[in-house]
Amino acid sequence: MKTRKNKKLQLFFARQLSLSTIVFISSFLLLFGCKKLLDVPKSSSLVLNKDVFANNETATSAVLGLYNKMVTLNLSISNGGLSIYPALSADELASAGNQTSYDTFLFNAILPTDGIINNNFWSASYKNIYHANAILEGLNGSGALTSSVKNQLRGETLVIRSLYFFYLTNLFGDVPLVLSTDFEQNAVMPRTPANVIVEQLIADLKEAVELLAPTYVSTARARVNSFTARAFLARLYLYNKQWENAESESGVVISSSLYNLESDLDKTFVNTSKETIWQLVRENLNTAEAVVLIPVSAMAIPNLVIRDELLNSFEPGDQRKKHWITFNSVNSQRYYYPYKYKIRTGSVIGEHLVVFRLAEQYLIRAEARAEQGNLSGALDDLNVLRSRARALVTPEMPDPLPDIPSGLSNSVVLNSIYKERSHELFCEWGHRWLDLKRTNMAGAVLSKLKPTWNTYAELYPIPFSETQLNPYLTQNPGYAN
Amino acid sequence: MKKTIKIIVMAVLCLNFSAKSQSVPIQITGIVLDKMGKPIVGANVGNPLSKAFAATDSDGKFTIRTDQSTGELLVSNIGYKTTKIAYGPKSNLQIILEESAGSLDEVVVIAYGKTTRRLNTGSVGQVSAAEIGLQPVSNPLSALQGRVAGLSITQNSGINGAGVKVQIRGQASLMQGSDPLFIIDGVPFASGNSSINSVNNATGTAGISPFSTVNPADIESVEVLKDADATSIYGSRGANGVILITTKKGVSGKTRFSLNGYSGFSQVTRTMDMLNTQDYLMMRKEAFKNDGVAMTNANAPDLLLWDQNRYTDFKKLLIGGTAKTNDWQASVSGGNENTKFLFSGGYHGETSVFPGEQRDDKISGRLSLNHRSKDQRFTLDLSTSYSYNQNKMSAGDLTGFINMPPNMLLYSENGDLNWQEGGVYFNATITNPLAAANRKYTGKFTNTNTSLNMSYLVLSGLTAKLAMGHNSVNGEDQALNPSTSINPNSGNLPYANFGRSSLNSWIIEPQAEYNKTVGKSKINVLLGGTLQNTSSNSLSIAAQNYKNDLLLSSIAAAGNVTTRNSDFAYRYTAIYGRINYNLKDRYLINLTGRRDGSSRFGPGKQFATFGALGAAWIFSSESIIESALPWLSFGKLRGSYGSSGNDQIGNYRFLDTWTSTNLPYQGGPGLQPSNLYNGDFSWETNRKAELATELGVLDNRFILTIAYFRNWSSNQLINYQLPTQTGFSSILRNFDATVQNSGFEFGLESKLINYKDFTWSSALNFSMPRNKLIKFDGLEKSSYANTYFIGEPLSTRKMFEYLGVDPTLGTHTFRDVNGDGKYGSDDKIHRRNTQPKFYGGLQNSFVYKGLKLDVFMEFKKQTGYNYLYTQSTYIPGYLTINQPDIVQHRWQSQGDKTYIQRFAASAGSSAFAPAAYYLTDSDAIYSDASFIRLKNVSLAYNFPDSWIKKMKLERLGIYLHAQNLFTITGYKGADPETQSLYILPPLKTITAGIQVTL
Repeated sequence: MKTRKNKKLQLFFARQLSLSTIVFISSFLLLFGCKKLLDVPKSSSLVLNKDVFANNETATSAVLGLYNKMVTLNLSISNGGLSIYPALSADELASAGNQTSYDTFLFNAILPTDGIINNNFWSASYKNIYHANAILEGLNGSGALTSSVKNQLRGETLVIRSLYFFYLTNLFGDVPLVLSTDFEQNAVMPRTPANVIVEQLIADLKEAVELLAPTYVSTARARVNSFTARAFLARLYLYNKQWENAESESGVVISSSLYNLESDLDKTFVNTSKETIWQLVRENLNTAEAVVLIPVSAMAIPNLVIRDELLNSFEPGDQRKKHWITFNSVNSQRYYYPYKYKIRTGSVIGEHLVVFRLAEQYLIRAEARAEQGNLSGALDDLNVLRSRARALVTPEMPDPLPDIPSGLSNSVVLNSIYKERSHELFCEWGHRWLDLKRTNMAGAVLSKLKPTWNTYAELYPIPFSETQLNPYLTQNPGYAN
Repeated sequence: MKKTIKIIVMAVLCLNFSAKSQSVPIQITGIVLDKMGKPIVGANVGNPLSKAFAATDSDGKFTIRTDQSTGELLVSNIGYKTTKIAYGPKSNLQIILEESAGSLDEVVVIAYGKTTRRLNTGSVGQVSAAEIGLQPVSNPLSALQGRVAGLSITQNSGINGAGVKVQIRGQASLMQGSDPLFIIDGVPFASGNSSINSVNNATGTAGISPFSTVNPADIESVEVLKDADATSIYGSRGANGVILITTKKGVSGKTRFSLNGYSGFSQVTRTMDMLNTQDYLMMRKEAFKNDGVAMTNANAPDLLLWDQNRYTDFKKLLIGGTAKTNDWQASVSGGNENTKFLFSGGYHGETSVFPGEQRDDKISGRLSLNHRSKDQRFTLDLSTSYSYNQNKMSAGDLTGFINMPPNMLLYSENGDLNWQEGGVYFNATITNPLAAANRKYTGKFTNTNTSLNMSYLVLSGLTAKLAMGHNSVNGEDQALNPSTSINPNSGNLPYANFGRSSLNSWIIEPQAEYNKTVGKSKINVLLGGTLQNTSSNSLSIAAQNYKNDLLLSSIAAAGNVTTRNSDFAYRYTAIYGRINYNLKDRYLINLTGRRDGSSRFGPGKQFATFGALGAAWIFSSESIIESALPWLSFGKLRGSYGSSGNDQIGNYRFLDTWTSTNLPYQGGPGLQPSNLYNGDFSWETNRKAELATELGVLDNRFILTIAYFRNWSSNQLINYQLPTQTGFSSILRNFDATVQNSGFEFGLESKLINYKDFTWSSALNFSMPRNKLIKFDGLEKSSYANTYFIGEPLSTRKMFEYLGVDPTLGTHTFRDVNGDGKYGSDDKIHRRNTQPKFYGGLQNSFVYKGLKLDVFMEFKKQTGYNYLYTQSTYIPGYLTINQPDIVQHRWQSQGDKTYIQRFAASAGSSAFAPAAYYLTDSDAIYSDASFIRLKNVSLAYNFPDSWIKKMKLERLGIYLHAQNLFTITGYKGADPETQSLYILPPLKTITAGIQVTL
């Protein structure tokens, strides 16, 4: 009965249209719902995460990518920015004309909405910290790498990550210690106390010392070796008042045969300098800070000029004033500017960005020794740098830049070391700004120079947008948020 | 499985056959033809008294049975005037239908088909070739501005070729693209509305519009699909609405040659006057005096070293020129009843208001071929076009330099561009603007679009169709920066940027369409499939350190070359269907559905289903209404509800990937993480509801449309903002937030005067959009706590409340809500948004014999950024930067009440922070940016037929067209549309032209 009825119906429809046509068309159309059709070739510029750490070459590329990104953004925290902005905040530089981005630092009037603070310091750091964390996680999860390569890459990454946290905590105070790529957790992470961060950095750097080889894996000392980790560790110990450790780590670096002070001050910052422990290489470019510091021609007024206080504090016969500072005379007025790096632009690449150099290690050991009461040891180290900077004896100047004599009190020696640091390390990686702060001299020194000085300005403001996006991220005291 | 399908198909078909009538006293046969004698297929033939209906077959023939031996038949068809014809017993009728002029029966292009305004169940706006033809524009999207309710088009820049922002019924997505889907002759436009240049140029962020490669003269009509009924069939791509562009087709009959040409000029519209030298210098001196800052050669060269009397009006010099426009279009068309063709070519050329040699030229060619087999079963429509656009402009918008100090020395004594005065080089804040004019951009873009549609009438009522299309947009551009464009003092050597991009998209859409008329019912069933593939690759090269200018366009001559390339592939597949049921041309139901898959989503998330229901009731056809409201010639109530999606998120985002760094490290390749990884996102869905009525009064002399719509987009797929301590500023994820766009849209078309020799008709459209966030779980604790607000438009921002300039201190002040003496986020409690209150357009057309005058006004009521917005970067008095002359109203001494604060000379000034930081976060930067723009005026004269015949012409016309003639606005700033003093405002253009048809 049922079949008969169906047949009748079918016959009925057959007159109207062919069912098979409909079925054919419908089933043909159903093909368009097929998943296979959605398989598209992967973009040639993308590499899957799991493939990156599947062999030594791509894993190394991940680390080279991190080095490259350290020097991508001009005047970022790891690409010259620290030689300029903190130097304005401190007592080293002033802006010659007016330029908003410099002037806010110069007047210690930085607002939380400041673009440099956010882009060049905070964001530039955390973007690369993420990159470092992604490498560390990738390396951990990979069984395919040669162990020596794996150790080297991990060591390098730890040092780079530590460098960012070191500067972040010294500029901003407590900052979130982000050690993983888990964005859910990281997005709401509050500020980590600075002492916890320092402990983490010391542990990481100690591990890096073990993981890294003393020899360089690249030319031009462009990648981190174990001495870099030690030099960094020495600085950390010094900042953390672990004098004994600071002395021993810097001692290891100083006694290494790899490094010697360049007797010619003009060669201290060239890319073949024996004094360099680690330098960052920009592809086909000289340093980013030289582009800003060195005026474009002898006729131009520099963007930034050395403050008179710094200029006049050099002792007679100190060749650093002559070789590391120069001036342009425009309309018969002299404008002095930092001249450590001497190549502004051009196709000849002669300078890279020196991150750690031997002279600082002498200063670290000198200070660590002085703090431990070893004044003669301290003066030995100090006088090494003074003799290197000393001008030739002339009839007009019979005793240029003399050694610091023995028999001085502890505090006088320490003050000599601080002063020496300000002459050796000026306009370099914010050393002066950090020294003023860690030795509690900032208020005393800066309130004299800057009528608008406020103690709270010792810490830069946390970027406003970040405090808005992470409700657990508090602002530094004194700043409106 | 197969059986199920059979049953479904049968069930659908049963709908038709049930209504078949039984008793047959007499039988009338006939044929329905158009004026050309071509059979009209599917026309409705009916006897209203006996309620007998029939439809014409593929030969235009019909047979109708009725129990009334004499009477009248009503014959109607889409696009034709409904005709009554008397019949007697044994009639064999020949009925010729005239094409209807009434706008209700004009053809409206919809997704995969056509309908009329009368029978449409969805919301579709239309702009005709005639309206486009009135406007001397090179970008067809600009021609839509103000013409369609619910369609917002914003011109971002007046630069030749610059992109325009297009939005249909508001911003639905929190962050993903809100561009509609663009389809040209059935082929999705590969680039969408994204800019096509690879190298930066004068168009700035707007970029070069892909539509600058489309010839407006080729367009027959543009349909804007708005509601769910109209857009659901486009599934995942329909959420932001759809813009269908249909190109012109040939007309059969004698071979016609047409030529249309116009020529004219353009100038900038509205901008602001800048201070002259005297006032500028006074401002600078006053700033130094105010702050007690010493003038030095470094910070005040303009006061100490430069000529104090020299004056250059940079506005006049840089953007004060007159641009010339030339446009020529030629076409030949013809054919017979089976085959028609149209072959056309066009040229459009524009120069610029900038100084120097600057041009933007477009040539295009098109062929349209339509064939219908003699038995009418097979049709073939082919349309193929090619266009080439060459943009040769300055590489930067020179408007950005109108604030250079007016006493700047431009040329040195030897005639070269000057870069110093008084022995001191210009500092970094200023540039010789003439050098910027020497930065040369050349962009060459081609666009080929081919669409091929074939259909075959397999069986009575069943048509199999195959639509195929290919679209390719290719670009090659370069920006050359010769030594004459570079400050010789910057140490930079000549450099160049090169870019190349290629976008290719093909689509295949097989379809089956079934049409059946049974009694009073008409059913149309469409089933189709889509497979679309888009692939792209692009290359950009930065070439630096050229030794000289001679080899600047040769990459090999560069000292330093950085190359980047990228490519992607996007695949999209779908099956879709539509069932349209029409009872007595009075009750209409339209059901659409689509199942979509997109390669942009991860495994398991690729497919989603969308659908919509639309219904319409033409109540004016009800006899009770006809008798009760005789003046109501047309009345329709329609509504729709449905869903569509949005997949505008970029490709490969569901993969955890690394990508190359731009540069190697010591020659070794570098990799970096591409983004934060989240493989778990899926479609954003958009639900749309609409209720509308369309009323025709007094024989449709007045047609009123009122629509209310409400769209909700939920499961928002957003780049969820994160603090950068996570490594990135955002993560792509779905978020349970709902944005509602709602609003009223009105349209009123009137034939106010309709005499033989004089007619006046007008069309008004009016949109009142309302955008608000209605749901955002956990907003307070999210990273959006200070960005979005429940119940408010997405553009809402929290601002300081501006209190004006303190009469004592002379600085901007804001309300310190918490009284802590600082301006912090707690003080930002004022909420302001930039949502337009309403916008629309009013067209008036007057025809007196051969003379036609068209006047079109665009209006918009909105809040926008005023000139103060840029005063955070350009603080009056600070740096060697000029200001609009409005700053003369500044505070000068105690007690002054004004809105411009005192001039500042240093970052240490008390006037610095209020301008640099707080002003742009305050409501002072907003002001009324409403405007009424006389968008278009056209005066055309067609020579009388008698005269033309003598000349052996078919048509001869001359015309004057004007665009953006003037703007009525109280806006405080340059142009209320571009809202920036330093971006070229829209241009006003006046052209004269001639049109000849042989």
